[in-house]
Amino acid sequence: MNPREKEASQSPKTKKIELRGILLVVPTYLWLIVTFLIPVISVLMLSFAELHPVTKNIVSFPTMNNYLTLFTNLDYVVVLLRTLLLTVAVTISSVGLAYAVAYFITFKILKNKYTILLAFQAPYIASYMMVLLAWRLLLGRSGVINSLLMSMGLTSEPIELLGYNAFSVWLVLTATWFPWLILPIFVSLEKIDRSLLEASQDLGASPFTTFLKVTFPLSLPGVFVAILFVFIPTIGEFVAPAVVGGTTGLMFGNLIYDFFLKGFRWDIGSAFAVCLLCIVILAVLVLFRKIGFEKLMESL
Amino acid sequence: MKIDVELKNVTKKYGEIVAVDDVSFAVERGQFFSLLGPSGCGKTTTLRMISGFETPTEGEIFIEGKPMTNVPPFKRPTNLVFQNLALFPHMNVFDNITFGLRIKKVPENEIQKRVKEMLELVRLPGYEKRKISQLSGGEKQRIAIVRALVNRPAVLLLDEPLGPLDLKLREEMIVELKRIKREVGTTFIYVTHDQGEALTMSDKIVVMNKGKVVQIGTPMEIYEKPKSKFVADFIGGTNFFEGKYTDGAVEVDGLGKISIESGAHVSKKTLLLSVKPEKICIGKKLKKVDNIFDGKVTESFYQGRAITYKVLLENDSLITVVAPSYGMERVFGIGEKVKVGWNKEDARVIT
Repeated sequence: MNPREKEASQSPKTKKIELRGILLVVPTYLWLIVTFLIPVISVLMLSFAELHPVTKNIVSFPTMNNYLTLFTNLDYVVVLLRTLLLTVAVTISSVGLAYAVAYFITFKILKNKYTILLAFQAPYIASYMMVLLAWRLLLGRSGVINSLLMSMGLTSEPIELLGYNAFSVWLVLTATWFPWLILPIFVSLEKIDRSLLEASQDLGASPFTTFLKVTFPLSLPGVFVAILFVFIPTIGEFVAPAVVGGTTGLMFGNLIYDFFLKGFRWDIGSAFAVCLLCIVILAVLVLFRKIGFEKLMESL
Repeated sequence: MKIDVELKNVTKKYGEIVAVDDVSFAVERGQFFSLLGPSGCGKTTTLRMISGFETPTEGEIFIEGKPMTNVPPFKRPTNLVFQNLALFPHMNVFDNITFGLRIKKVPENEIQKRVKEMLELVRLPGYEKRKISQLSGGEKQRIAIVRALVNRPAVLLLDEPLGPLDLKLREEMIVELKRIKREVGTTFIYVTHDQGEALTMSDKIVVMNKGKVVQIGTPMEIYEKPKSKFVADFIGGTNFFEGKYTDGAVEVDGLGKISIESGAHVSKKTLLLSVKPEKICIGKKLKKVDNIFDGKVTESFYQGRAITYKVLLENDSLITVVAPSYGMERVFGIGEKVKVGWNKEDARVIT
C-alpha cells in the first residue's frame, strides 16, 4: 500500500463508507446464517445421531451407523452411482446442447438476436410440474409417443427406452435445463472481441482451429457457470425421477425424500444428504482447480 | 520493380452505399505504402479486402501476381496488425507470437529461433512468459507487430495501429516502425488518417476520399504538388486564392495580383492557388519576396516550435500563417497591422 492509499483509508470519510458497506452486507449474512448455515449444521449433527424410531429421542451420539447403512446396502450404493452417472450425463448433454444454440445465436443470427435468446426461455413460463406431467403423458410404455409409433405401424411393440426409466429422467432433465444454460454461455461468447477471431484467421487458422484455439477457451467462464447451474441442482433432483423415473430411474434425492417424509428416519436421511453435499463440494472444488477459475476470470 | 499487391478497379458496395469506388493501385515489393484519408473514406475497407475479410463487389485484387478473390483470409500471404491489436488475452506473449507458426507446423527449433530474433528486433528480449495484461501500450503494439511479422508475410498490413497511443509514444513508435521496416524489408501497407504519420514513414501514399483514390505519389509530391483542392487542404492545411489569369499573375478580387510561375496552366481563365501556411512569411517589413500584401492579425497561437497566425487580408479573406519561432523577434498581437508574403514558386496552381 503506498502512503497515499494508507492516508485515504484512515481518513474519517473512508471509515464511514466502510461502516456503511458492512451495514449493507450484514442483513444478507444474517439471512444466510438463519436459512442456510443453521439447517446444514443441524443436518450434519443429526447424521451422526441415532434416533428412536418411535419416540424420536436421541439414542446414541456420535455414531457412524447411518453412514454404514448407506455403504453396506448395495441397493443404496447402486442408486448413488446411478445418480452420479445421470448427473454427469445430463450435465454433458445439456451444456453441449446449450453451447450449440448459444454459438448459433451469437455468430449466425444478425437480426433480433435477443428476442430469439428470450424465446428459448419460453418453456419456463409453464410450471415445472406441468411440464413433467406433459412428459409423463408423452413417455411411458403406453404413452403418446409409443401409441403413435404403434398405430402408424412403425413398431409392433412399445419401445422400452421410452418407458419410465433412467433414460427418460436423462431426457427430461436435459430438455428442462438446456434453455437456461444458453444464457451464461451466450454472455461469454458475445463478450469475445470479434477482432480476435479475425486475428486467428489472419494468422492462418481455419474457422475450426479458430474455434478450438480462441473461441472455446475464451468462452470457458460461461461453460463453467453453466456446468455449476446444471450439476448442483441435478445431483439433488427428486421430482423428475419421481414422475418419469419409474422404479429403475430413482435418484439419490428420492431416497433422502423418502427417509425424511415417508420413513421418518431423519437420522439416516441426514447422513445421505451429507454424502450428497460432500460430493457436490468435491466436484465444485475439482472443477475450480481444473479450470483454474480465478486465473481464467482474471485473464478476461 | 516487382509488384507485390495490385488492385484493379476494386469496388465495394454495402447495399446502396459505395464504400470503395473503382480503386486501382500497385504496391511495389519492399515499399512502405500508406492509405491516407479522413474517416469513412474507405481506406480500412480497402485494407480488409486485401487481407480477405471483405470481398470486393467488383474488380480484382492480386497478391504476388495471384488473384485473391476466392482465397479466404487464412490462406493469404498477408498478415494484419489490427487497430485494437487483437492480442489473445488467454495466451502469454510467446503463445501469441507462435500462434501462426504452430498452425503452419514450423519445426520447434525454428520457432524458438524466430521468436528470439523477433523479440530482439523490437527490443523486448525475455518477454516470452509475460501475460498480455502485464504489457504497456507500446509493448502491446510491438508484440502485435511481431505476431504478424514472425510469419514472414509477403505483405504486412497495418490498420491504424498507433491510434490509441499518446503523442510521445506515437512519435517513438513511428521511428521504431520505420527501423523495423528497414531491417526486415517486407512490404508494408499502412492505413492512417494522420497525415503526419503517413508523410514521415511512407515511400508512397494513396490519398483517398469518399471511396475514391484522389492522388498517388511520394510524400513530397502529395504535400508540395497537390492535384486537387481536397488533397491540398487535407494534407497539412492550406490557403486558397481564386482569380483570373493575366500575364504571369492571378488577379484576385480586392487583393491585387499574385505572380506565379509560368507553366501549362495559362490556357485556363480562372485559377485556384494553394499557398501552404509555412511558406508564407510575416513581418512589419518584407524584402525579397515576390508577393507582398497588407493584413491584420486576428488571432495568434504560440506553439513552441512555431507560431500560428490568422491574418485578415484586404479582400476580407482569412489566411493561416505558420512562422517558425527560430529567429523571431516577438509574437505579433491581435489587431496588429503586418505584411505577409510568399515567393511565386510557393503558390501552387490547383485548377
